[in-house]
Amino acid sequence: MSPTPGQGRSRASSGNNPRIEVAGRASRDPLSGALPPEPANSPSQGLGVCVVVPALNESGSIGRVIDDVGRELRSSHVVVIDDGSTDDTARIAARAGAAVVSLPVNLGIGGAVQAGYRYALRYGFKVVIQVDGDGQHDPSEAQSLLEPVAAGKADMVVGSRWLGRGDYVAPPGRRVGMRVLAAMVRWRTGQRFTDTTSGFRALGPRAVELFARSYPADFPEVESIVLAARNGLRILEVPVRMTERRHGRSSITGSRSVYYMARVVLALLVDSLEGKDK
Amino acid sequence: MRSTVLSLVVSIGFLVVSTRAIRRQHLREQAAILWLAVSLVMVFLSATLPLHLLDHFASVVGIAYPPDLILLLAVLFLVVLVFHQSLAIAKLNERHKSLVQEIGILGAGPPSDATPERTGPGGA
Repeated sequence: MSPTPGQGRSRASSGNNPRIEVAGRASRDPLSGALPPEPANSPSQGLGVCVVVPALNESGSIGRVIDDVGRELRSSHVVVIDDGSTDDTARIAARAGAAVVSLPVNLGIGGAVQAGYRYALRYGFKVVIQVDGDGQHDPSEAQSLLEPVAAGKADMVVGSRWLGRGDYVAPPGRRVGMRVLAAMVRWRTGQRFTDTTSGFRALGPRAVELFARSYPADFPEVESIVLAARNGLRILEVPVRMTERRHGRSSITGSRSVYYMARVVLALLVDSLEGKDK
Repeated sequence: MRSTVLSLVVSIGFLVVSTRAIRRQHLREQAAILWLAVSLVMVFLSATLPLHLLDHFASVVGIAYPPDLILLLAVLFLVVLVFHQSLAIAKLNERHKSLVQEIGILGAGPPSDATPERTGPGGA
């Protein structure tokens, strides 16, 4: 049995397939017969939800996150982006049944998450839900993120800690910083957000496509909201519960949080210089 | 006179080094042209030291102390060069990021499991 391209119903979808060039190259590439033909990459009919989980050295929590996501979103496809972990994260994630995109070098959170969007776009997933690998996001809340996107009411839904639910309390210094960022995002987008640094999100097809193309590298959460708004995407904030992290520590503490603020504020200011177009 | 010889030796030395690097293809074409031009300018300036061209130029642009003209030009050149390289690094970084992501995605392979709808050729 050879992998002839005409095989199976997967051909039907190859019209809008971004990997069509790859299919042409397969003829000189002696693939083993066991592999499916290249264009068979439209695995998710219907809604096609891909759960993107960025993780860096989260071996303590990644397994439970994947289990919880699997329980809450049964038909979703979970992909863990291992951003160059030095521990067992990738192995544990694979054993828990997730697809694992292992980045050979560390790209930082922006690059890692974007790899997830590109993965989702390539394999035809319509919706992406982004959940941190550290267990801070409660997957039982994913459904409420998903709903507005599935109903076509929003292109991007951000889960907020501050909209009433949950008992997450941030240290005072951090709270001030978050207020400043919220004010700046409001200035840039004309829309009120309470939790701009939340990485718990659902994205519809337009947002996935935009972010697969361009996504901020280092501290992407705040900037990506402005980027989405500037491209005419409809953004919604919904209340979610978040918990204190159980394993590992926040990557942004002490002097790094000052640096974080400076970088994000600067990025928003520079962005504002470029005007409202595009 | 001695200063002319000294700077000629240095700049010809630089010309030799840069042409050798170009011949061995250690430089990209664009950079090769730049360094060739730089070394030729250096040779020209050294060779014409006795003619006091520099003093002349300096007085034309209103610089009282001629060597300052050289320093000014050198600093300007280096600033532009570093800025250009900064841009080049950003571009390389973007390409590198794309490649790393691509390698990761290719390594993961297509999502064959966990999608019950699909019983295509891969499952056989």
